[in-house]
Amino acid sequence: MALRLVSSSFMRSLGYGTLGLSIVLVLWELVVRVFNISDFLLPLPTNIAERAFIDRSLLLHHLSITMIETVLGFAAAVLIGIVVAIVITTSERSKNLVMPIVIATQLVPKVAIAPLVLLWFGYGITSKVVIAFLIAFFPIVIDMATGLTMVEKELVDLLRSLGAKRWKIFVKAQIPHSLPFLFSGMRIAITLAIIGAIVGEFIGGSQGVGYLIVTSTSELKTELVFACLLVLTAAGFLLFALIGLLERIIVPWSAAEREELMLVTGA
Amino acid sequence: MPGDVIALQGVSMRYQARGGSTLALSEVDLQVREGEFIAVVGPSGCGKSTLLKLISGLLPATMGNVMVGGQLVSGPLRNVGIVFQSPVLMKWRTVYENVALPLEVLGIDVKSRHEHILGLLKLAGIQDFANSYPKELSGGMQQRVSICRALVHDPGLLLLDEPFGALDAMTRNRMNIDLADIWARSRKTTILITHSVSEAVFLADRVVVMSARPGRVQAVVDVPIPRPRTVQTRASDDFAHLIQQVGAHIGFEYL
Repeated sequence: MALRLVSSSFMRSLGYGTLGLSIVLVLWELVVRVFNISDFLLPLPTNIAERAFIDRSLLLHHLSITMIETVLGFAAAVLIGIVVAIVITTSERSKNLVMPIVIATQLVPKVAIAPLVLLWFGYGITSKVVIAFLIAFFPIVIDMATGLTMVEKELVDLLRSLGAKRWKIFVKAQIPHSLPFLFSGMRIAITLAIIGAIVGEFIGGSQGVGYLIVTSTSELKTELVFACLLVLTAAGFLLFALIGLLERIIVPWSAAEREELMLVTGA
Repeated sequence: MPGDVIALQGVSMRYQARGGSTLALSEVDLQVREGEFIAVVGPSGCGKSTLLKLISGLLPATMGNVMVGGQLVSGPLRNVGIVFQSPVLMKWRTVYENVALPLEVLGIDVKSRHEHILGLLKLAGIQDFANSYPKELSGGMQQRVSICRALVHDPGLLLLDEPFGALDAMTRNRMNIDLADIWARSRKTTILITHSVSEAVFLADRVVVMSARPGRVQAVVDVPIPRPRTVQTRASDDFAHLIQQVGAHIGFEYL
């Protein structure tokens, strides 16, 4: 099976995506001009682009901080999420023990405990990493655990009939089977990690795109706020695409399947 | 009894579930000789698949003895090849790697069996797909891979649990002929679970008819049709007569 890192359908969807975004931007520009909306409320897309270009070094500095927090929080969520998923799938007892804790951490609104996290971990990067981790952790655990437990029963029987013990079944069947699930969890987790980092920056600190948004809003620099949103969205797209790329390299069999599925559903 | 590679004596199986228990098998006696091909037919839920799980050691019997090769079965046998109704291939492995799986699990060097694996793939007519992934193959082809995997470690016992149940009638007939051919080369002791009386008669030396739940051995029908069995076998009077005979035991409403 040939490994294609960038498929033709991907290029097609990229083309349509660009077209769709362009239409929105043109409409935006028209609406603001026709209704003469104040640029404090809704600046022109062209002005936002100009602002982003002028303040590019400022934006990049803050973006790099936010990205570091996001990626660290995400990485921690993946590593710890995998371990927790393995723990809860090893036995009914460990599941009953650990699962309520996992769900409890998820039921507490992250925004509500974010001030506490800042209190505990300070106003630097660490507290944002922790919030990003807390919010990104859940989908990793759930998807990975699903993948580990959903191995066909017959396959387990087959391995057992050959004398395979738990460890061998885990390595030969459960782990490979869970990888595509892990990647679906990672797709969701990365977008959540960005949200976590921004929420942390909103609440306290002196760096990051979230911080820049808060200060710019209070100074009525609406163009800069939108420029922040622009770079944030672009960076989010990039991270999302990176995970897709990683998936194609590590689990090519599943990436190809996903593509077929998308063709069928017309997505 | 000497010469019997499998012997079941008064085997019963009761499944415990939430709301009570189910008796799946009741006092089953069955002897299988070395190199014999046995087909087990019966209505759904007669415990046919349970029978295979007991023989392969995946499940302990509630009552009675299961002996394989003169030993009391007390855990997974390792010396068996199993084919299920679904191919249960690992979709992250190529056909070749899927077939090699039992060797890996048993700790046998795969490289040293390279020619053997290729030979099996050739025997099953899938040598051109060695490096393909399962999803690139049709259901029938996938089941051929599954059969190769069941034979790769040269097991003493072949257990087939409705292996062609999910295939269309034409593919199934074709697979029956090919399985008869593959089996004739190895003459492995084989137990085939099936819903199809014609499949059972076509392939087996003896057909075991089981009753509905709880499963019991209702009748054993000898199939004296000479081998090799070919397309012509299905057109013979003997064949039609045996199908009638087995059908009479099952109840014709099931045919």
